[in-house]
Amino acid sequence: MINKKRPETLSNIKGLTIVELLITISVGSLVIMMLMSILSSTLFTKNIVEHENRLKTEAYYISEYLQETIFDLGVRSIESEYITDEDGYDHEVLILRHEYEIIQSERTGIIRRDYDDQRTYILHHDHETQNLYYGPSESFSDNPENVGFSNRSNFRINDLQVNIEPNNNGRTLNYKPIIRGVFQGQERAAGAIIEMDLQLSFGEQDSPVFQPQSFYSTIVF
Amino acid sequence: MKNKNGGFTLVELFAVILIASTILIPLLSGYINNFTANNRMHERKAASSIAISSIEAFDKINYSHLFDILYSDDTDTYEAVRFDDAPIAKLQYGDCALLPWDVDEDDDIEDDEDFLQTISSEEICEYIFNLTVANRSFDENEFEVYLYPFRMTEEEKNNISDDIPETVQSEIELVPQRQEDDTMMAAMRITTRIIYDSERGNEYILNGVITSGYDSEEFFIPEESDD
Repeated sequence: MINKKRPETLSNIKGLTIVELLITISVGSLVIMMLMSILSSTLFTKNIVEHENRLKTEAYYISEYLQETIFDLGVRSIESEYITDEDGYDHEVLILRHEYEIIQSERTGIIRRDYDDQRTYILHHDHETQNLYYGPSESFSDNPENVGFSNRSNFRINDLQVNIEPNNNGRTLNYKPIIRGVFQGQERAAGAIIEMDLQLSFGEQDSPVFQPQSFYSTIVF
Repeated sequence: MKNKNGGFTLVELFAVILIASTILIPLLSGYINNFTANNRMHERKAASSIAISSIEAFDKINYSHLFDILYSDDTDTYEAVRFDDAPIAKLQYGDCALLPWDVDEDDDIEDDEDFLQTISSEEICEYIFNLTVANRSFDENEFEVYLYPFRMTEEEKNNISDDIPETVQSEIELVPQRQEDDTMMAAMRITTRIIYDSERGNEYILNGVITSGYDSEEFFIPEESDD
């Protein structure tokens, strides 16, 4: 008869007691909970940082766009004006007179300054579309029925980089810019400071996903 | 049974804490490093934007006022910002008072229908050192501007003060050599230095040129007297 006696070592394996199992589960749960809370807070913070970065990038972009345009075309004077539309809303527009226009010769391709063409540009914040526009005065209408640029998409200076990472996941980017020239007691100046306070947020204007952020910038010219 | 349910020993507890820490510390430090790198990137972006603005805005200051800072015989007035033996000046926020507060009549644009107010050199200077981009500005210890000639003699280059930061010195050393008969100085160089990360000593340096804007022979280096 074959001896089927189990090896001595195996007979000692009794498995975990219920107490040991409970301890293992509770310790394991504690570790997992700790890791999960860290992971969750990391993801939450990452989301906030991504949105803040996106808003900051937008603030940098608008500020630098204006700055470069103003410097490139040599602003000669600045004027502030209020235009009241038919709804009684006051549009503050900044009128910037440039020293010259930059033109390129079709024949030689050479770029030069044309001092005979002193363009006037207008910086306008449309409170309906919440967008910023900067374009030549010829394209701007001060008619109370339709204050603004005739072809707005050509002169919009914000939200031009919608594909910039991180993607805003289809959320709309809201602008509430407060832009004003700093004048020394007058509404016109030959050299001035532009103060910009951009209130940017994601989501619907009345219910933003995150608190709107305020970005203050100055341009001296 | 009593012995087996005696709980974890101190060694076991330490072992658990050690293992948990080994996992968590690299995770957390990586996490914090990402934030720091992101923050530093924004600081650098703000520094670059402000440096560009400041050079452009310095060009709006009356050139003769900047010329005086480098070359005026009134050494007492400008002593604080000049360096010995080489025509180099360092400007910070507090030095704006050296520039005139009043606006010269010549600065007004005459062909406009109404009087247009021009900002004085001192005001522009103060606005420059208060430049802000997306809420970030740099204080007196972080933001400084160096003015020096468009061309310099070999002797002037050899006398560059050691008080000037090495990064700025290396920029000044690149200035082309000035010939003896070349005295007209209708342009000068400007270097903006912004320390955007004082902890690590990271700084942003940007060079530019300021011109008088006139084709005149108004700006000459004062001739040295024989005695």
